[in-house]
Amino acid sequence: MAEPRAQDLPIAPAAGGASLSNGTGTGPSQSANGKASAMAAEAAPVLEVRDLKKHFPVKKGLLRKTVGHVYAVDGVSFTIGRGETVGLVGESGCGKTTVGRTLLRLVEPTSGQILLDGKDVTNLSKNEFRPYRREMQIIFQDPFSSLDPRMTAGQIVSEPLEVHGEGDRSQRRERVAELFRRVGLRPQQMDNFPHQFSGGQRQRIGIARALALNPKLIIGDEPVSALDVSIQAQVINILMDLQKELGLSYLFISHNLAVVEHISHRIAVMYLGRIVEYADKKTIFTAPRHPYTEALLSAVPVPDPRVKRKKIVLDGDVPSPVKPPSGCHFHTRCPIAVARCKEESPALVEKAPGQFAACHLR
Amino acid sequence: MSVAEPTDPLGRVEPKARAAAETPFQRFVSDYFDNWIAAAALILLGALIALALAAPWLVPQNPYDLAQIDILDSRLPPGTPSSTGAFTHWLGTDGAGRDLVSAIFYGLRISLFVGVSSGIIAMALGAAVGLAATYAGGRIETLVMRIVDLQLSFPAILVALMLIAVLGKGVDKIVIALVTVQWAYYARTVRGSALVEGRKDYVAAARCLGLSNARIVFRHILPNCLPPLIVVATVQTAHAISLEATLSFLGVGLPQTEPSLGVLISNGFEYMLSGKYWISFFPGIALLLTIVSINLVGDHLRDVLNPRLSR
Repeated sequence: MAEPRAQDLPIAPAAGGASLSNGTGTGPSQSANGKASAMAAEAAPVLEVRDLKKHFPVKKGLLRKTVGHVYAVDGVSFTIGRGETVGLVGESGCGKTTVGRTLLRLVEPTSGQILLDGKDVTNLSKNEFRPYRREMQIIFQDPFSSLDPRMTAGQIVSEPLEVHGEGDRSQRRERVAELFRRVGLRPQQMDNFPHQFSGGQRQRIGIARALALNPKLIIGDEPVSALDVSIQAQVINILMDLQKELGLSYLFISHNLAVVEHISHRIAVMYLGRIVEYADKKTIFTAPRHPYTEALLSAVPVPDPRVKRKKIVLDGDVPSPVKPPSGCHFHTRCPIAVARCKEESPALVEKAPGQFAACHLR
Repeated sequence: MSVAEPTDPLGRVEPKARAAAETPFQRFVSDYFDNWIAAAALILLGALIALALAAPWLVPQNPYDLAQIDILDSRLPPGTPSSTGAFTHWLGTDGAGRDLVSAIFYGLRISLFVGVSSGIIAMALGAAVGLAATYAGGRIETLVMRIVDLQLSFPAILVALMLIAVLGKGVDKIVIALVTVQWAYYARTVRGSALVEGRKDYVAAARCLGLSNARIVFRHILPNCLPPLIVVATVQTAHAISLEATLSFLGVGLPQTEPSLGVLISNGFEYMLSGKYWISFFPGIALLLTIVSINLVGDHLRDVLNPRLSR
């Protein structure tokens, strides 16, 4: 029994393993680990986003005059390292889905830079951008509308191969069969139509399709939110296994903190179009700096009825992204806001090694 | 020992795939034949089309061939033998001495040809315009859709009458007139469903995979817009047939030498009250059966293809 384990050991911690296992340390070692993972990410980031903005014009009236903008994404910067998972969390309407779609150019960014493997792809034309599409793929939230109902599962997964001219018919079929096995589907199911699969199975088809072109980065836009809890775990585990095997990077967009905690190495918290805190997972969950992160974490249910915890209840609703508050977007609901928060917008600065937060006070 | 259950990488047993592999088309066929009225209507329609196609081999007389028509045979009641004694006029004859069975089958041919060909041309044209407008978006889309609205706001019969007045009589002119009044329905239908389909995630996925716009439009969006288009096509074909009959009845459609069902009805109309009911009555029944069967098929197609009612 000892031998196979000894053999397994060197293989087990893959690219992202280091920051996954950095749990047990005290303060200093923890921040050192955080720094290490941040440095690893900076060494060769798969994706770097600089000051990304997306403002949707609001048009009204007969002449479709622009009367304002929805500040969906308002200056977002982050990096994703090789084999790393960055979780992007925030309540609905905070712009996290728009971030994902802007990265893929499903929505054209208003300003900012997107660097894929160090290459600025922001201003490439649609045709110039096409080869870079192979590097970045997406898994959608809704497993029902994300698959063309008139194609078989096999056709759906092999279409990208066909379009990018990979292999002949039988080679493609072989590759599709392999992808099916990878995501836990039987290759015999290739000729079935999407309606013959369950939600979890459809999501696996979506994953197989995203994997077909061997991307480096996969953007998961709430990929498990529409699934049953038991199926969620299966899909998450498949994603984590694939990451280990293929060295994939993920941008994992979700509102479910428990899921994000399980899969992510680093977490970015968004509020009204801006990242308010960005740090490795452990730091976010044990020592959050931004009051919004604190409030968000306090809302996560703890599966232990004896644990008494102070719940931070925020007043009011999320302000409209059409008229975001002045200064710090969070000041209208912040329990510790002072006069300065209303005037001055806090920058996202490194408060501790590897921990970035946008707050004047902490 | 049974064969091992298929498992996923985590060792869990895969849930059985629902039902045997059944294509959407097979499912659609079985859904359609669940309703016996619709099935009967489809069979009736099929029979009418078969009769119309096989008319030259089935009927005793070619009503277009003046040499075969004897004016002395005009307005004979049903069941009378012909003057030559070669056959019996089972449904009587019309004012020109044409055997009504023959005239109805040939008339059905013309009516169905006009309806189906104008339907197909209008569908192709309308679908192309609708897809192009949706794809272009912005001002072009607005402009095209306002033209569609304008077109649809005129009564079809009025537009067709004006066009026929300008173009003259003839099968081709009737088809042009019918296409002109009907393309807008298809354009509007395609645009509606293309807008819905275009916003679905599978189209976004296709864009992420680097598919060309043409491929996305023709391989993904258009096939998913087909169900409502088929329904509109069926209903509009019935509408085209009745419109053609109306125009012919009013005397502006097809010429007397090429009698469609509308022409036959119009021929017998003046004898209706003098007891010679059969000249209008039997062509009318044929027209009624054709239109009712097409409409029943179309109605049921709408139910079967409606995603909101799908099981």
